[in-house]
Amino acid sequence: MADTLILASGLKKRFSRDLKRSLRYAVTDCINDLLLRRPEAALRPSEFWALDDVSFAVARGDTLGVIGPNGAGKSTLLKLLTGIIRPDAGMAQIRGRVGALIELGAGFNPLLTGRENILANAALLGISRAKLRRDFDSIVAFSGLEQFIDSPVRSYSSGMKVRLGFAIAIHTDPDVLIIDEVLAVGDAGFRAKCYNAIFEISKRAAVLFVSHSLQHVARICSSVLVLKAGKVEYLGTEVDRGLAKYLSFFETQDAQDICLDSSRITAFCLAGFENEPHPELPFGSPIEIVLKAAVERRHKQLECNVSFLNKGVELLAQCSSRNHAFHISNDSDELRLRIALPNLHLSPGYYTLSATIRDAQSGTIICWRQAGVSFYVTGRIVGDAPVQLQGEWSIL
Amino acid sequence: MEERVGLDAAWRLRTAESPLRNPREFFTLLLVDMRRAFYLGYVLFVRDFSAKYRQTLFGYLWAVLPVAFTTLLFIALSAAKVLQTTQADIPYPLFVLTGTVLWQTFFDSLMGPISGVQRSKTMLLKLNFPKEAVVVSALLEAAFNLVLRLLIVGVVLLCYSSLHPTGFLWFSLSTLSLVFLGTVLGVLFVPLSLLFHDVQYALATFAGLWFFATPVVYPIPAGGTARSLLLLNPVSPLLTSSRAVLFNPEQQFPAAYFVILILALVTAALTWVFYRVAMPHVIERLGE
Repeated sequence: MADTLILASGLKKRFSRDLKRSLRYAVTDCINDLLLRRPEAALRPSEFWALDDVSFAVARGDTLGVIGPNGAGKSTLLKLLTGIIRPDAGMAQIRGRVGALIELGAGFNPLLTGRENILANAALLGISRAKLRRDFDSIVAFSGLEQFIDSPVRSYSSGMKVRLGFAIAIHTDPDVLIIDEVLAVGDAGFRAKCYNAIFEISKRAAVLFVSHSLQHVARICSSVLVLKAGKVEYLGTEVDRGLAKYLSFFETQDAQDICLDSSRITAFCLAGFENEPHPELPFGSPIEIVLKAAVERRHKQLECNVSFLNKGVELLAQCSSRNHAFHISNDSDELRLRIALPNLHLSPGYYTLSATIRDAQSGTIICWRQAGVSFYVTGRIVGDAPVQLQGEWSIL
Repeated sequence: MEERVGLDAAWRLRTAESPLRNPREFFTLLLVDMRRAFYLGYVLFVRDFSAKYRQTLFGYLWAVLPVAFTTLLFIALSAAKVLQTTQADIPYPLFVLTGTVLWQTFFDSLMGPISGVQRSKTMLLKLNFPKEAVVVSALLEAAFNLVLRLLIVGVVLLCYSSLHPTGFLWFSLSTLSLVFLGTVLGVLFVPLSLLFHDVQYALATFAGLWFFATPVVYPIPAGGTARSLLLLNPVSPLLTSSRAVLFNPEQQFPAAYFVILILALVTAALTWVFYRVAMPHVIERLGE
């Protein structure tokens, strides 16, 4: 039988949207507890379920990825499991020592040195004096901050603080490790070191990993829990299916047009997929983007730009007519452009395209269409970066 | 494995039920957490105390300056005949100094847990640790300040040739009653102060009033309504009796002193349970 260390069953948590009511409910809940009354089961006015009937189990050696859009209830779930807050229904059971990589360096005092902060933070995380004495050098070595350990933490960069926080937190020797999107900061080298450390711990612990990085979830998680508005949308070991479910939440992103004067974009699509809202394109396949627009004739010369964005509308790559020395004269009723890209080297995931048309002389944006095209890239490509360059590899 | 704390190796169950429904587990956890809270409280005290005076020129002097200045102010007011008191048994500076030290000790102990949790909001939101540690840390700070102030009192008593070692020892011990009362009331206010800022506003508004409603810079009148009203203030018997140990033992209020201490003891036990039950509810409403 699996050595289950985290067990959640019918977990529910409600919050109030109204501050004053929320404070009053806090008083009511305290009084109910003190009088041994059972908590009210239903929502009270202005409340909503931040978590609604969430159940799962994680055994030693397993890593459960928790993904979901903002407001899905991920942080609430972590707070329930770590015991910071209590559920309103259902139960959470944890066995063993809990280590949480949630807010690295919570409790750091900026005026104190790194050394002094290690002592305080380690105590907060439950590391005993004896263990700290043994592990102190190892913590400093892991952080790579030997030269700065006697400088006040206020002089540290945000990356350095995360290094120190992480170095302390992984020395808690946990049975249950809870990680909440903590590795967004820090340089690539340190991130790799962190992932290795997490991987080592995950062999002997049950890990809950919350991240927006689908690549990381795909790489380290043995199962995935997809949350949306507090509800479980997917739970299972088919991580690909979970990720696809998560990506499907963003399909409804509507195209937005912003245009000067009477100019307008009349068509923006992938050639061959005009009628498919979210086509699937294998990694590395060629694509053709079609852009049509009716631009006022007073703009004589134009420049066009197509941007690739991820689900978080983060700009990943661009293709601009200007950089190709491709001159566009606005001398017909409808401008018709085709942009051919021989290889699509985006990592598997969900992407959108935006198009911009500018006046080449003044640089003014005439038309801008946001999220006009969306598509999935599929394939078993693994990597941290959104763009995976394809090189010709050989042994010298 | 020997370092794992108590119940850590067992299942920890978190449900919506009141933790008091399972009193055995509630009190076992309370004791387990207490062990950690003492160590953590000490570490937090050292952390905060080291940081507190690091960006100052006068450093630890700030721990005693407020008491010194208040004493000097009242001595000056008394010398200028602005304040008329009926106190005749002992030199007025000694009377004011001991009164201020005792009041400040009480007030620091009252505010310590409240400001401690306010400072620890981020930690409370992000980490699960025994919340008693914040109280232990506040207690240690109050105790440290008290020791410094007692040293001042001792030196001044020596200057006035009024230092009687036994009396001073009892005086020092008796100040702990004010630390205790202040801390109990402070912890009682903590959950409410985190929810409603009214608590801080009220304390700031009424602190001055409370000071003057306590026989700090004047003695308790021998009779009349004022005396009865003053004795309704729980700080009065503790403060007056503690001071009387030094100078005039006949002015003690032993009955009121012990009644208040017993009440404080009972309140402390109830407050502790209340604090543990209330904090998770309060923390979830703290927000970022």
